[in-house]
Amino acid sequence: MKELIIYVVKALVDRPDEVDVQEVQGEKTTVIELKVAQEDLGKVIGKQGRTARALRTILNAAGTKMGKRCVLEIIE
Amino acid sequence: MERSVEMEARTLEEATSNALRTLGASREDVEIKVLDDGKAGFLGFGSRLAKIRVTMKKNRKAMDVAATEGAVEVRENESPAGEAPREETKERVEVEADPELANELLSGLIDRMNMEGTIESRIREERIHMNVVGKDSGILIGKGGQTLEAIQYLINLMYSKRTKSRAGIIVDVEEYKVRREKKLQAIALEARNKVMKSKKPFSTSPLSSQDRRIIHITLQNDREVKTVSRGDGVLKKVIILPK
Repeated sequence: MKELIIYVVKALVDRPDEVDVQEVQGEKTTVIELKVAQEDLGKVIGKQGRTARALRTILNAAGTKMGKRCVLEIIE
Repeated sequence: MERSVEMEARTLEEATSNALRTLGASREDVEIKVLDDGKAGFLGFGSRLAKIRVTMKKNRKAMDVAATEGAVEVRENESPAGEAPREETKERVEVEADPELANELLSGLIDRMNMEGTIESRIREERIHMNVVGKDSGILIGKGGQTLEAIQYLINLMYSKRTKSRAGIIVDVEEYKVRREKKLQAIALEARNKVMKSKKPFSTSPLSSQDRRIIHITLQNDREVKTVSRGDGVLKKVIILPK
């Protein structure tokens, strides 16, 4: 799950070195915490949140396959 | 190695020049076989794309190498098929579409989603089309095609970021989009018949803009009914009503 988000986000931002992703495992839910450079925040959110929504959609699909619920949190 | 491409475009000339650009070849280096003459149609209706197969002649190995190096030579005054080749002006420009990069980005994404799938890619009207086939197609499409839309959107962003160009990549899974279009056309025609019988407006379920577009286009020249979109947000309904 973590690798999926790292893969996409690093390809979208100007500062891939500052991408930090942490996975917090819950019983049924996994929380993926995403941190990026301040200036890249807009890139991972997108116009009207479209990029963030797309990231959540593919995360849900991957989670469905694994039988896990995944939540993406973008940390400011 | 024999190199050949199949190319579709609105006209034979366009298909030819696209194919030559893809191969990095000039008119005299290739053999062109017309698979479909195409049909112009009227206002985009009943039109059929022209289709050709362009194969490199075997004695032009040097051109093969040039074409695989990433940058191809584009001749500005490409002579249309059938005419004698004219004096050419050579100019080096960056490749417009890089299907290999698109393919690599998509297969990387599918792998990391823990899905399995094989990607078939082709270029049509200068756009990269990729179709994924495999046992995970259901999950990759998602409810109402929303996972597929998200994948296509992200791949376009990633590709644009890497190449610093606008991409226009189309991602499909098991020809879902093709099937969806046919289904929506059927829904539109069925709704039309209902409206003609009842003389009352008929409303579809909430649809995305791409889906609504297909309904509108299917019925736009109809004498008996007209269509309007109603609602707020991303998903709106299409109302079909008697004229």
